[in-house]
Amino acid sequence: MVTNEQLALDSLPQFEQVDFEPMAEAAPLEGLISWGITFFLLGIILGVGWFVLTMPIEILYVALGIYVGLIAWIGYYIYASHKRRGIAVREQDVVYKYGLIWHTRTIVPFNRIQHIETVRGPIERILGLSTIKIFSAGGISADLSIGGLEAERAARLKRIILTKANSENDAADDES
Amino acid sequence: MTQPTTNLEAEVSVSNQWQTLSPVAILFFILNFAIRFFKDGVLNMGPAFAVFLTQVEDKSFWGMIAFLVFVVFLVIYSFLYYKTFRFKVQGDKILLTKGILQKETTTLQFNKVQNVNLSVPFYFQPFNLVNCIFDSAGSSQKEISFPGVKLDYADSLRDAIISYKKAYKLSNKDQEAIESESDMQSDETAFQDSDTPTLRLSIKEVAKFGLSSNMTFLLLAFLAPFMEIIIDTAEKSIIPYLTSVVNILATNSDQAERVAIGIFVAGVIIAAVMLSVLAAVIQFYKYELFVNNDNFKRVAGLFDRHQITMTKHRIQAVSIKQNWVFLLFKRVTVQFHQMATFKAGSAKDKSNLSIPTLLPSKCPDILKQAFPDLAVDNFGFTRINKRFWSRTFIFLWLLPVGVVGGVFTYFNFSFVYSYFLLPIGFGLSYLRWRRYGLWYNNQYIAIRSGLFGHKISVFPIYKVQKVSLIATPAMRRAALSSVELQMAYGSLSVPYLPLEKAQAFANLVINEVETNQAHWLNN
Repeated sequence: MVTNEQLALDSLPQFEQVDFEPMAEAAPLEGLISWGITFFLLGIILGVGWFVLTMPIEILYVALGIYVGLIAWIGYYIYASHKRRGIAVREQDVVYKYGLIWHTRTIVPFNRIQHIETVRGPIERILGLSTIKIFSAGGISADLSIGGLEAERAARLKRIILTKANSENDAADDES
Repeated sequence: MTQPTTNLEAEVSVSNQWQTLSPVAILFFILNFAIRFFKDGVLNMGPAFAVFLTQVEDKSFWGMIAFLVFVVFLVIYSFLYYKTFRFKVQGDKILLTKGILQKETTTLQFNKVQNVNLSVPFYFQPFNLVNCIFDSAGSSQKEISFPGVKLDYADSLRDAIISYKKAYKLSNKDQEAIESESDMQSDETAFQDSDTPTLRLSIKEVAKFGLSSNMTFLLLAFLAPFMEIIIDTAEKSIIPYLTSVVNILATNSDQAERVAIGIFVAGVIIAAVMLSVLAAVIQFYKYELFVNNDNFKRVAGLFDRHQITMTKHRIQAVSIKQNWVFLLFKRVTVQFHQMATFKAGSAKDKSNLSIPTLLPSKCPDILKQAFPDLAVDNFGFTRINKRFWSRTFIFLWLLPVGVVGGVFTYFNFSFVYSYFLLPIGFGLSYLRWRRYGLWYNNQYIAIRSGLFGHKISVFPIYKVQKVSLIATPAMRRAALSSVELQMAYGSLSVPYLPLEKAQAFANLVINEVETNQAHWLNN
């Protein structure tokens, strides 16, 4: 017996219709600072190469070119990918979009969330930012790592997700 | 938390003090440690072995000494391990201590046990002993096993655990049943010894699986470092011998050596294939599959009759695989995927149940056993967008071969032949595109992929954990998107779907996951 009912696809909630909230204004700063430190250290190495080791000038030019090129690309990447990122919380799930080249939209239903972690690195703490990591079954690492949220919004999000996830699980367990 | 049924204590009261295994267990430990040593240790010992082969003069003498020392050490170690291995059942948990230098104590709560699997190594059989394995798949508990307990004891322990879990579930239905890992309605209809298996595999069928598995290639890869030594001995002793034998049959001595080398190479390959077949037979000898309302159970093994039970509702997906060898044999392999726990980076899938060889015509029956309401015999797969073919060819073949081949050709013109790879790549990209397929109704999804053979994964929609849509700039221009579904055992993806279809599909999946009240692990 093969049933093949017509599915009213238009009547289903459509995730592509959601309005994504942008990430915190300060979010790109975090990337800029941590990459800035890295490039500062790299610059010191280049400087040492110039003054102490008396490297041939051609090699230094090439290194400097790559250095400036990388800084430009990373700076662009940080701002462009920041603009691409967005989060939307629906009644039953979280939708997160990210990725500059690989545009990705990920949907995690609340009733599949196993646990949540909040992570705040030193730079994030200074900027008042927070990262939320959402875990569901079967993932090797976090299924969704949402960085660049204001600490207050992250806490609110976490509260919402936890309440939803727990009530969902309760409901499911009552059924079983 | 209320303590359920107290008569439980009585049932297993026999075993309420510290117990030891049967002395036969020493043999089990010796074999186990030896296997583990060869599996894990040999690769690390490679350099030492190479030094031994090249530097040591009196190979057979020192080899013998090393072997004896190893055996004596192994026996002593196994004996001490056996001596320190103690366990007891206390109320609702199992306690186990073991370890010679480092004492290790493990506690396993009854309600964390998913299944009690019994495995009977052939040397246990005369003593009516079994290896009792407590499967705690999907929970964070460490797996424990008692190698060398009486069959009756294992059975009573299993019954005690099952009845405990039932009582636990009843008494805690309202409050504590939330713990997703804590159910085991599984054995409500336990298997009887008198059951007839749903499926039996003959030794011939199992051998076919041996031919198809990649073991052969693994073995050849493993032998690769020793190739020089093998070829060396071959040149010195085997080839001249073969040559002389061939010489008797044919007179041309120049031809004879070539024939001899050919025979030798063919011999090595046949030996490797035979080993692979042997390994398959050892693992799947007298394969029997039992199916009842709630469970799949398989028993197989030549030396070690290993029994694996899997509760139907725990199956996250069923995959049907056919690689190129099985394409020739017209057989498939069926795998039942259980939730995987990732610990220290390695997936624990040894408790996964599979059917090594099956006639494709029997697949619908097996699928119906796993998913009773999947009333579909033939999935009408829809293909993915044709651009996948050209993109795969461009990015995986044309660009790498073009650039690398170009650079090499610049230095040495003979590398121009590398461009002959391109038509092959074009064909392979086509096959890859041709194999991809997606089918779904409002309850189930089937995804097909492959190159020469194929793999079809079938699963209920509500077992999906996460959905992602991914698109590169080129895909966006062509209004395409890839869909990735994360399951509790791993992820599956369908590339290059028309954007509208991908979105509609994602909405359907998410809607089903959010509205279906069934729990993905417990139903």
